[in-house]
Amino acid sequence: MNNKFIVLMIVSLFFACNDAIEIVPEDEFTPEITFESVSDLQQGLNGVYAQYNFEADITYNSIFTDNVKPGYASGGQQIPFFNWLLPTSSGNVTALWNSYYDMINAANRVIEASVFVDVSADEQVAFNDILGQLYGLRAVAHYHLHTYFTTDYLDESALSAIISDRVPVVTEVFARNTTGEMYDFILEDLATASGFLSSGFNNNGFITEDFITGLRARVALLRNDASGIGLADNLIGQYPLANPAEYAAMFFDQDDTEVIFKLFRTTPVGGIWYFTNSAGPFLEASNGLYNTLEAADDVRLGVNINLTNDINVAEGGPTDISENIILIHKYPGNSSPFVNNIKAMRVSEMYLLKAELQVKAQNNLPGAALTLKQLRDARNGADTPLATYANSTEALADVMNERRMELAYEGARFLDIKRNKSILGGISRNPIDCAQGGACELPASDYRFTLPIPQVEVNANPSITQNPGY
Amino acid sequence: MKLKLTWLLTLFMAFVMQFSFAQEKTVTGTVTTASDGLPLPGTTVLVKGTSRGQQTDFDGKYSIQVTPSDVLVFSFVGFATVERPVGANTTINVGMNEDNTLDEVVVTGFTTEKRTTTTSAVTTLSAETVDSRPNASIATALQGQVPGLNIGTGSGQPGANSVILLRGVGSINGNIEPLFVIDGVPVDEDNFRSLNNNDIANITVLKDASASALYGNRGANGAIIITTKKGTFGSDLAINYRSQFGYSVLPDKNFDVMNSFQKLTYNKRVGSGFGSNLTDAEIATISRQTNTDWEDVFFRPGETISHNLSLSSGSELFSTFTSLGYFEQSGVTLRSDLQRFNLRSNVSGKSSNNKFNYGTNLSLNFSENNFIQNEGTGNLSNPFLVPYVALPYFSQFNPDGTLNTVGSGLDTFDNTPYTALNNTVLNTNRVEEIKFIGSINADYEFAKNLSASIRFGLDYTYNRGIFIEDPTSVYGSTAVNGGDAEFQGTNAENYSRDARFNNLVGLNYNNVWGDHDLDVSVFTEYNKSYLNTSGFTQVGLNPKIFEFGTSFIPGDTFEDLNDDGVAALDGSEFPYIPGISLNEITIGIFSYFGVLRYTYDDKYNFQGSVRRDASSRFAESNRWGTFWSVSGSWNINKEGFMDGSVFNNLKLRASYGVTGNDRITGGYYGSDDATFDTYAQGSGYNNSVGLFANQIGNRDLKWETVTQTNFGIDFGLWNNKLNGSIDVYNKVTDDLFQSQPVSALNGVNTISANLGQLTNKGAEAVINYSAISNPDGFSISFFANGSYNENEITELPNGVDEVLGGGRTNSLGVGEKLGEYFAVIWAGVNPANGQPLYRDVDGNLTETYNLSNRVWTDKSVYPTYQGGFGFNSAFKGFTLDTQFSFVADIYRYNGSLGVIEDPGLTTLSNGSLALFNDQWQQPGDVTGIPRAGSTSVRNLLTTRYLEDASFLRLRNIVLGYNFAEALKDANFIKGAKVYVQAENLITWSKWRGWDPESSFRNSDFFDYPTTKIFTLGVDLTF
Repeated sequence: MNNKFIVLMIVSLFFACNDAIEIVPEDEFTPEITFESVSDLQQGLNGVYAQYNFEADITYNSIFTDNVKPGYASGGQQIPFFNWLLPTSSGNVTALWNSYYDMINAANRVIEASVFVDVSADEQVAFNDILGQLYGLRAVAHYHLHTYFTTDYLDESALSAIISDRVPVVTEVFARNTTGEMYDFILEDLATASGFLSSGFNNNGFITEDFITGLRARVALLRNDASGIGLADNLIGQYPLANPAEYAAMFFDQDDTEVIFKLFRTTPVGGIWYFTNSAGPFLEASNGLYNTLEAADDVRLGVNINLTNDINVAEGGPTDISENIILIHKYPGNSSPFVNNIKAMRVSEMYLLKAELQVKAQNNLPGAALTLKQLRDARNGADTPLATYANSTEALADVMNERRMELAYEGARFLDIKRNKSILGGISRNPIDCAQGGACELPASDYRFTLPIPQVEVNANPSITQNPGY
Repeated sequence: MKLKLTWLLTLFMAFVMQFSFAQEKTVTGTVTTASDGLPLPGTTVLVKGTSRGQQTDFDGKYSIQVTPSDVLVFSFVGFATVERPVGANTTINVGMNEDNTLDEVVVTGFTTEKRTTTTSAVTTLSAETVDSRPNASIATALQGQVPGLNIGTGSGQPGANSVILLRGVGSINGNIEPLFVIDGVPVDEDNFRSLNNNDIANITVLKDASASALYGNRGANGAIIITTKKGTFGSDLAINYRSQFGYSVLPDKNFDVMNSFQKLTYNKRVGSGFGSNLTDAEIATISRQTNTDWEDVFFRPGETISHNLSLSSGSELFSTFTSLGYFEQSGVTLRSDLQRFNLRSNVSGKSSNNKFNYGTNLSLNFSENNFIQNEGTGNLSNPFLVPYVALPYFSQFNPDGTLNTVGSGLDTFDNTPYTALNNTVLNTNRVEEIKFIGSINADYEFAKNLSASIRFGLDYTYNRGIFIEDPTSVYGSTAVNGGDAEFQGTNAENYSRDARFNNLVGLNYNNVWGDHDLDVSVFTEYNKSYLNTSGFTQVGLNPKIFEFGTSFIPGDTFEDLNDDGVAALDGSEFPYIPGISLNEITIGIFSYFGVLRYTYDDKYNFQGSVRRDASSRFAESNRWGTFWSVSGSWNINKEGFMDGSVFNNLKLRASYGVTGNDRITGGYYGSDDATFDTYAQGSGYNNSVGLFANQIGNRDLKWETVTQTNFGIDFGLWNNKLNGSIDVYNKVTDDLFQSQPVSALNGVNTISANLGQLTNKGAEAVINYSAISNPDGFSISFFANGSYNENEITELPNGVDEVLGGGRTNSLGVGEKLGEYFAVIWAGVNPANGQPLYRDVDGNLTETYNLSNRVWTDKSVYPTYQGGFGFNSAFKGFTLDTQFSFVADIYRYNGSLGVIEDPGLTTLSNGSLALFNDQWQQPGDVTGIPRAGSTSVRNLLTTRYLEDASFLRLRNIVLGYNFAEALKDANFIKGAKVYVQAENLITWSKWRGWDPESSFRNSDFFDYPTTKIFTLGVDLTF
């Protein structure tokens, strides 16, 4: 008896100790095993693309401006933001900051890991294309951050966001870079990307040489740099404008005539304004935008506003003007409601970019009028009158009006107003759109045209320079 | 089920009668305490010179077979032993006197010790404080019974979990609840819904460092030790049957919404929503025709039924306790219920030389829980949203008189009542649980004064979660591709298997010589726990048999959703592909520790303990933690100078020690790999597989430690007629596990680190007073306990003074409380224009809401004061017992009320009567409700809906009658008692809602209130 008990005790002692405390996460991808081959790098790249949260841009540019109003199904969603309440903890600001830095961090991780991957000769092209895309994605993420967080596009010494060219050590903090440094960095990354990408890599669902050209043009636009016109012309030469039928089909993902870069999507983009289950809109198109589209009366009215008579409830609709219900229709869904690819760069933007630079960098008002006419003719499917402008302000206003219609709900409106506010003024809503809440005017001088450095960043880095007004 | 039980009981009755007729003479009686005349359950009644005997039942009653020449010996720890010759008596009632030797034992961990020599802050509760309460969860019944122990139950769902705090909240992100141990097995502190209250013999609450040092690796928040009932060696078979039946109802709701007339009139007044274009006559007509009180549709009286049968007996070397329980409770709203079956077998045995003891405690439990959907959310399927927002001018009926469960059929705000009803009636949200708690233990005195012991325990929980959306329901009909697919509906199940093993091996040396009493133990403890979860989600069901797998539409079914004749490349035209998941987590702790106790002359007591613990949660360098405690006590009443004093007990205690918490993210299985960098595979771009950085590990993570100092005094006067204890403590948590903000350039905003310090200081008191004690007439005794706890954050990460969060209570400030509201002060309504007014940081009025005007409010989600009081009384056979509980200085944001006063929602939903009566309408109106059309305030971080959630509650009241007199000559029924009891009968509170109690959440949002429960009970002993 005695001995048996002691033996039992000793045995139980031995099956203990290390078995209980040496537990490794066998089920996890540890850094040692994650990036070992070119196909692993490709999966890493797939992860970087997946973090390209362009929806944050669409959200910001539509709601913070004059393109939406509270919808009939509103339960208060996004209303404080619509009313320009912009604390440093704003979820929409944090989303922009976080998602682009997440994307940059992800790209940096794969770029750094690529050094240790053995690449065979027949993998070299694929490997280079992966790197080219990674640098291109890193550049475009920095571009987005720059557009929101810099106080001044033209003052090269103004503060921009932070340049992140490597995976940081976790406790590191960083000061903001200047606008000039940011432009240099973006262009340098674009040059690196261009060097890696093979000529055969031209799927417009991914970063291609053409996208890089377009992004260089966008940077030139921010700097009032006339070289952007040449870059835009390069793309205009390659991509025809869609005719009205092609244009309408494009937003059902059935035509790519003028798409330079698109982001594939499998989740509803329309959720930015709709409860996607019920198709109840908590936000609708603004009367301001509707009136503009109705005045132009071309294919863009039906593309942006749901005017279809078939009551397809799942896609939101239909619009009922008598009840002042105006529904956004840019992402009606292809096979699933509200699920559409995002057209992140179209050639029509290059026409608008060219026209804007013709006004601002060259004061070539007739040239701008001609550029706009080309776009309008395509949208109307018929000849439109050539505008004449008394001065550059009038010309720029016309470009902006055209941009508003052409790029509505595509992540442009707020940045367009910000870029030209000193000439054209701030945000001015149609009184019907701001009847509830009363926030109708955001003057050009308002500090909120530059976003605050989010509270989450300030918490980590209390000495970072906050933008004025916050 | 009920039928089966009745049948079973009949069988038992027959069984019992046979036993009863087998004996010659039966003596019955009641054992009471002489001081207050209250029954003394658990007294051992032995026939002198034999091992025959039994224990008195919960009413202090016993019944024993004897011959006239026998002598009965009555003994109970802490009381003087009484001997009575039987003679011609058939009834022997005994009043027991407290014994100054006070040998009551205290279960302080792996061992027991005598009450007189304990050095720790401990509260012990006996079975009757919890075992007949109609609460489905043991934890609920503990509220207000132990000073310093806060039980917050945030839901009226039968069996709902409670948040349990002992001496304040001791961690920011880590586990804050005490360790629960049942019969030596550490168990899940969040799951008692499957366990049977009736099996509990006593509960010991260990509060200070010296007591919980024995559980140092998990005892940072104290420990609650539950012991279940056992048989007694040498006792005859005793059978006990208990049953309760009753109803539960919603408490009074303490807020009002508009009726049809008021709502339509209001809409007309503000010119929006239905009614704004109606004439007064039309409004009058409509509100006469339809004025629905939606509460009638959704709420019902809940039902409680319980049966419990237990058998205990013992021979000289063997004893058993067996019980069988059934419990059924339906909630006050449709679909919510709990049903459970319990089985227990406790067995003890020993060798004839008393050197070897062993025992097993097994309990097998099965429960089935039906839940409402989206409890505590604004989701339209939540039934507790309905009484707040449902429009009264909508009818609950179809034109043909049947209940309307569709409404508009849309998932929109104004369709709330129909959507909620539709979901409640048609859909399923159920958890089936199998819970097994078992342990075996043995000890052997293998040499003089030396013994060895072993214990092995297992807490096993298997859950099957079932979630079904009927393809024809509002939700189910849009489950696949927004409703645009041939087949609809969801059928999802998830399974979890949680197995926690605990193994303890120890050696003990115990010796008493002269005035010295020394006890030394060393132990090793091994803990390992495994959680496996898996599940599937099928969308697309054949509506005929949608509850079963045979209805699943195959995943390769192609739906040509855009009618182009080809399958979309993105896979979206294969909508029936099911989802699956699988996960496994393993956690382990290994410890060794020693405890030394020494008592000199029964006056001076000392205890010391030290332990080393290693947790699998931490990297090698920080894995081991060392925890220790020292404590002492002095029995002043045993000193010579106290001779002749009124004190029969006076003891001074002091303790100091360090305990640890490795559950640094709270959950039992949380932070299992927080020290590792990990990537994860997920859905990448364009339906590809992508690799994502998942976690940045922190190799420096380590144990949170709690250092606690405690001083206490225990006292008893006039032979314990008045007794109680007072404790003061200071509890400091260091190395708090917190989020350390990092730059977003890392791809995350925070990483986890051990930073900061939190302090809880407080005092506790218990007092009991036997005012009148007359075993034949009227007896009454009073009891009260209370505690005060002051919580303060004393250090934050990086030495900063404040870490501001974007939520109501997630800002932290040095010198502030944890869970304190940081908000803009609400200053009412501007009489000039009806707009909301706030205070800026300087206290000036402003109409602009700005987060930079937030200030510390000194109001926290955790209470400062807590306690309970009541009385127990008896007269002849009648008993009346009450228990009140209270919490004070506790605050909570009333988000539900915010919704019904929101001027932005009045066109969509019903609103508060205050909108109708008090809303600002014209300049000069002085009111608290801003004008119609003003912006919504409820989601802003203001104090507008920050309400005092203090309450005083008549937690439990029981009126009983004991048939002792009537049954004294009965030969097989030994005892019978009937009683009526009410739980939560009356609540006094300023809170504007149904229920001021919560699980210390920072905001209420259409939560399921705890209910009033009325039951009728019967208790029979054979």
